[in-house]
Order: sequence, then structure tokens, then C-alpha cells
Amino acid sequence: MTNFHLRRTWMTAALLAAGLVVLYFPLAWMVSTALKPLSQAFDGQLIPAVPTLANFRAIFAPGSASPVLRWLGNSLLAAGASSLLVVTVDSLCAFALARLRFPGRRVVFYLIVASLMVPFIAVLIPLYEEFSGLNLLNTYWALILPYGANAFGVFLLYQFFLGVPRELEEAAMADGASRFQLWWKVFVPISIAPMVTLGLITFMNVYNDFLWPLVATTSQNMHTLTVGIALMAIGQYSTNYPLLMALTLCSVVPILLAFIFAQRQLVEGISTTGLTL
Amino acid sequence: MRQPVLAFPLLLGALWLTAGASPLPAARAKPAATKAAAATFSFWNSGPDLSTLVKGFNRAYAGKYAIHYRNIPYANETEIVNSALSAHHGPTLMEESLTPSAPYAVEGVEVPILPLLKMAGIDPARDFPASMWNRTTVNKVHYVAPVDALPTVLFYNKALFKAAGLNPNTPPVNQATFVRDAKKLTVRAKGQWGYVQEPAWPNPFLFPSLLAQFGGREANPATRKILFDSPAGLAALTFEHNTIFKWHVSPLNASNGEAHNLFVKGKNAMEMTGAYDYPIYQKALGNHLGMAVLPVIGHRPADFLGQNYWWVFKNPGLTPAVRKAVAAWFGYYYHHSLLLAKEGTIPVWLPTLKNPAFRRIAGMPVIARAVDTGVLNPLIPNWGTTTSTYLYANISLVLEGKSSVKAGLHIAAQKMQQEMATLP
Repeated sequence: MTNFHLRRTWMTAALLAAGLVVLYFPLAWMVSTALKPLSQAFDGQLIPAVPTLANFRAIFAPGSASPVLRWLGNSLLAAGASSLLVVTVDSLCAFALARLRFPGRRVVFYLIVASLMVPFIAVLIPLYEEFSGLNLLNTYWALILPYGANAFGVFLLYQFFLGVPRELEEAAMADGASRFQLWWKVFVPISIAPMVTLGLITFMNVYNDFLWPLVATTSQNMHTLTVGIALMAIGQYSTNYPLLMALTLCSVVPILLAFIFAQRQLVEGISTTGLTL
Repeated sequence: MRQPVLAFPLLLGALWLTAGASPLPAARAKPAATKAAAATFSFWNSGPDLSTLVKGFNRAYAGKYAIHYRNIPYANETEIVNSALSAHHGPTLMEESLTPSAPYAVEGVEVPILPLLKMAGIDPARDFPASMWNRTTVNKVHYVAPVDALPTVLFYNKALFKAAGLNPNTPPVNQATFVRDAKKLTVRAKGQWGYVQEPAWPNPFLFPSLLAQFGGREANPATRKILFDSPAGLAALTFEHNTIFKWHVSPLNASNGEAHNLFVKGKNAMEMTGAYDYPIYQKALGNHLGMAVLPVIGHRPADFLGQNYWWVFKNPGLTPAVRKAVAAWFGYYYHHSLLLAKEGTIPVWLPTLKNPAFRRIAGMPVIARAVDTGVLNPLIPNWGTTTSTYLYANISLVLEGKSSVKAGLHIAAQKMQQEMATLP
């Protein structure tokens, strides 16, 4: 290796290392604060002077007034079920819009895409009234159904389905496949990577959502982790930052695991759809 | 082909599990204690947690009255309550800070609270501090009653006072002694400040305190006239400005939380803020923590009161029996306020405030004195939002040296006056 190449390698490594530090420093600070008592939360030290697990003990103490594990379970359930639902509904919708010919197809597509422009806060009260009218507030339905279909997923899969060769479709039809079978036996198997990507993104969005679960759940047992964290650590005038960081750290773990397990499909999905996270 | 085949049963299973046949206990099931009660009502609270006291009430009145209690995050009260009210699912009793009650009163969705208090045997003039009861009307009607108070106080570090040759038991009592002490306590070589004036927080506590001390008011709720750009307002903000730019006892551009952080580290000798910091300061400084009523920076003692109030929403479920239940809860709450005081909630019930047992609780005598001289925000809809957007944003600019005191207050007042015209 020439000196020039060596220098370039070292420069690249140094830049990447600097980027890594910038990216991971907040995470390190979160871990550090989670290991500090409240009185030392702002001591400015990355390494806690006297590390303590008291914040984690407070979270998982048996008989604790705040059922953190229950909140975590609710979040995982809502996020998991919503992901499955959104992948199914969006895939069917995208398939119809991309591959079937029917009047008004383009109008429907643009209407769906236009809904991306409507901020959630604008539909909060109508959505609440809808679920209230159906008597579904404070149920798991309320934590799942509103996420059950989204324009982003339809758009993502629509783009992918447009790229599927027409010959594949014609061959399946020649073999006597119905339209549903065409979707189920041809399009679904070849779109696993983007569907996993969509599922994972939905999982993260639902898992991290705060406002809707906050409004739609009234009992402590139905709260999700994000709502529980806000209730447990953020006070009217002051916030227990070490406890907040410990709770946040616990909440990051499932997302991290989801990433680790779906990493291959995620990378594949990103490369096939041109999506950026 | 295996994964897609699995997707449907998985999806159906997940929905079945989560929605209908969850092994987790049904969330909508009401607590056993409330099932048999003759009158039940919902109570949403964004202040200090009252669930233990509510449980006690539900036990004490089992079979007669019951409360469905819900804690909501303070920062998201508006979204939660407004969504619920729009769907006629709002709470019967709501607890929040004072000014969020104003829009509901103006819109006519609250009931007058005096009859309910009377039903509970409470005479507000006799039982509540005047500072917490007077000036809490909308169109001359009382819709709210105080729940707890949180005055602005002076915290100081006794060890730093001693090291500076000051008497740790005589904190400053007026502007002159405050500035004198702050100068002595500022040791730049050690990174130690006599006082830390942040541009942002805790101005929602400090500025109204100083304004009232100089004889001013933030606004007139009856006419909606903005008044904080008065000579009193100028004097109040000039004092804050001078601590940074004239007397140099406070650092320039202190970041959010810096006063607090430096105080905990023993690098900030004095802080004027809400009493909510008392528990953490007590833990951090122990016997070195001093707490006193605010020094009289202006012409008379006054301090802003952080506070929580409750009000009752008009709804079809507000039957005479429910009214009795709410009144019973009021009585139960106020009569248990000594218990809450021991856990750190500052009572607004005069019999408790005068109780010797209350006065023996660390820090409480100072706080009780501060409640006497407390002032509240004007009861004007959206006061919190508009002051954050205009008044406190402009005060920040002034204290960052980006605007003059006069211009800052003038611009804020002008914009807020325009905003007042859009309110219900």
C-alpha cells in the first residue's frame, strides 16, 4: 500500500470514528445518566462518580405502582399487530393500484398519497370521536386499528410492484391463477424485503408513538411504554432525568432487537425500494 | 412461500389475542370497589399524584361514592381533555393549573364551584388563603377551587455564605442586601456565582413575582388589557438584567437548567425559583441548604404561586348524587392535606397551614409565609401559551443582551394585546 493510500485509509477511519462518536455520544450519555442518582444527574461527568442501579430497581420493583412490563407488553403487542396489519392491507392496496386496471385508479392513488400531507394532529379529534362512538377507546383495538393502513406503505409497495415484470403476471394468469392468488403466490413472495422494511418502520412508529396512545387509553394498564414513561418520570415542574433515561434505555432494547433480527431484510428492502430511514 | 403463508394466521392470531381474548386482564373492567357505588365520577389530574388518597376515599365511601381516577401528563392536558370533551367523554372533575380552566369557564362548560364547596361545609373565605381564592373568578363567578400551592422562594447555600463571611442564617431581605451578598458570593476564579439568572426558566415564576413586588400586574382579566410593560415591569426586568450586565453576579447566557445544576454543585449561591426544587436541593445540599421567602427586590413582599386548581365540567352525568360525591371528595381531600404535606404537596387549607404539626415539617413554615403573599396569573384563556410565545420569549432576548428591557417588554405587550383580541 502506498503512503497516499495509507493516509487516505487513516483519514477515512478517523472521519468514520468521529461520526461514530457523534452518533453514539447521546446514547452513552443516556446510559450514564441512567446509572446516576437524581442529585448527580447534571454533574457533567460521563462516567458516574457512584454508579447506581436504583433507577432500574425503581422501574422493576415488585409491587411498583407503575406496571412498566405491562406497558412494554402493550407497546410490543400494538406495534407487532399493527405491523402485520399494515403489511397485509398496504400490500393488497398497492397490488390493486399497481397491477389492476379499473376506472378512477389514478384518482384513488393520488388521494391516498395526498393523505400523507395531513398532519396527525388534524385528525386527532375526529379519530377520537370515531373510536369513542364505536366504544373502542381504552382497548387494544384503539392501539392497533388507527395504524392498520398508511399511505406511505401503499406508496412504497406500489413503486415496488410497478417494477415487477408483466411476463411474470401473465405466466401466472396463464396457469389459471386468480387475482388473489396472483398477489398471494407471486407478488407477496417477491416483495418480502420491502414488506419487512415496511413492517419494521411501522413497528418503530407505533412503538414510539405517544400522542394517540396517550389520548386513546385512560387506564394505567392500557398505557403503552411511551405514555407510561411520560407519566412516571416527567413531572409538572421537574423531571426525574435519571429515571427517564433508565426507562428510555429499557424502551430502546426491543427496537434494537428488532433491528438485529431483521437486519438482512431491512438492508435488502432499502436497496430494492431506494428508501432511506 | 413459507413466510407469507404464516402471515395470515399470525395476523389473525395477533388481533384475536390483542383485541378480544387477551390473556391480560380486561382493561375496561372497573375496579371492584366502584361497581356497587351509588354515585361515581371521573377525576383527571395533571398535578401531583393523588391515587393513594383516591383509593382511601373509595375505601372510606365504599358502596356510596367512588372515583375513577386518571393521572394525565401536565404537558398534554389540552389534547387529552379537548378530545374527550368533544366526544362527550370528558371527566367530571379536572385538576390542572389555574389558567387552563379559563377557556372552559368562558365557553360555559364548567359549573360554579361555590355550591359544591358549601355542600362540603367549606367556606372559601375562611378556609382558603386569600391569595389563592381572590381573583380566581371569570365574569365574577368562581368556577375553580385551589388544590395546592407552589410559591417562589429563595434557595441559598449556607456553606457558601459562611465561606464568604456572611451569616448563613440571615439571607438577603431586600434588593440592596441581595446585590451586596451576591457580589461577595461571586468568586470568578472558582467558577462560583452569587446568583444565576437564566434567560428562560424560571421566569414564569420569577418575573410575575418581581412585577408584583414593584406594584405591577401582568394584565387585567376583566378588560384583557396587558399591563406588564408598566414602570413596575420595567423595574422588575431591569433588576434581572442588572444581575448579568451591571453587577456581574450572574453568568452571561446561562443555559437552561444551569442555575439548578450549579446550585446542586455548590457553584451557585442563590436561586429564586419555585419551591418544587426543595426535595432535590435538600438531598444535594443537606444541612447547607437555606430556604427563605423572596427578598423584597421591589417595594413590597410578593411571590408568584405555582398552583393547581380543580373544576367540575358540566355533563349529563352530573346528577345531584354525583354532586354530593364530588363535595364529599373535596371535604376528604382538604381534611387529609396534612398527610399530603408530609409527602411534599403544599396545602391550601388554612386549618392545615395553621396546624403546629404542619409547621414542624421541614421547609413548610417558609412556604406557608410565601403563600400569604402569593400572586397568581390573570385568569385569561391561553395565558400560558401566549406568555410563553411572546412575554417569556422576549424576556429571554433581553437577558441574552439581544434587546433592551423597554423594547422587549413593549414588543411582547403589543403582540399579546393583539392576541387578546382573538380570544373567546
